[in-house]
Amino acid sequence: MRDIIITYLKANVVTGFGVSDKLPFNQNGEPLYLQNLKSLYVNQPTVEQEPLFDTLDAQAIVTETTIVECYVVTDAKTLPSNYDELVTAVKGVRQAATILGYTAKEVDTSTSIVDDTLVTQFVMEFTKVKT
Amino acid sequence: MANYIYPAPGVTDVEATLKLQIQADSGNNVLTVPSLQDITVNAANDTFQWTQLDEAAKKTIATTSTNSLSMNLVMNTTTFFGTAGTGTTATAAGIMGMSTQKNLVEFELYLGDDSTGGTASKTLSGTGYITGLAPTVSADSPVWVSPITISMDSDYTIT
Repeated sequence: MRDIIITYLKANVVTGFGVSDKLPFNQNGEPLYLQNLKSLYVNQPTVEQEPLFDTLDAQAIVTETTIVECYVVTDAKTLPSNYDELVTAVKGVRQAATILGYTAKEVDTSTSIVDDTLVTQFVMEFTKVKT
Repeated sequence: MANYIYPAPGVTDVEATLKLQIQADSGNNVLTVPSLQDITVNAANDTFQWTQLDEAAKKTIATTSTNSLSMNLVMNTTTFFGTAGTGTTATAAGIMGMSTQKNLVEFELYLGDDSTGGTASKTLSGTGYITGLAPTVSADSPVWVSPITISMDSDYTIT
């Protein structure tokens, strides 16, 4: 899933922004995305399962949600003029033609201020049925 | 410990099991219904009531019983639609086929094991018609499920 999202972002990223292949690990005490502004970092997916149907012969059916977090940091004092365009492009991952078979897709966006930077976090959730 | 009946899902001889076969099938081909979510055994006696001048309470006698099995299942292509969709055997016709063909069906419902282990549990059997199929699916619940009722034309046999 992470590779698919990175490929999608690289094909759809807006001018002035980049997409890193690296995980957003901490280097010298702070995550990479705080050190490399205007570069999108995609974290490793986490997977959650919830029961959908329990059956008497133990063919338990679950919904499996794959959650991928993505980060990008910009200057908080002067927001890039195409910031909104970037957010729209990243949210467009829901419609990526290469992400198929999921019954629910959502992308939540949140922001926070760290020193003089704006950290934008995207939480992408893709849900499908597993038997 | 009391002799409670508590089936263990997925454990052979301990899980609740429903087997169907078309009564007219001399080969006794059996379809084991998978992925049942719940089972309700209905045995509703009708009654006739009357009053009489020398009694303060109504008098009642039991008449005939309306018997049926009600279940919900997660649909399995092979068993729900059968290997052929129609036919004279349960596995060929499938649940849908036996319903549309209006076959009289023999069923065996193994209730599951009791607390003593082994194969000591009871089996209810009888004959009836498959009715009440209503497959449904939704985006929030994207697996086909269906209620199924066996409307019986017999008493239960308990073995």
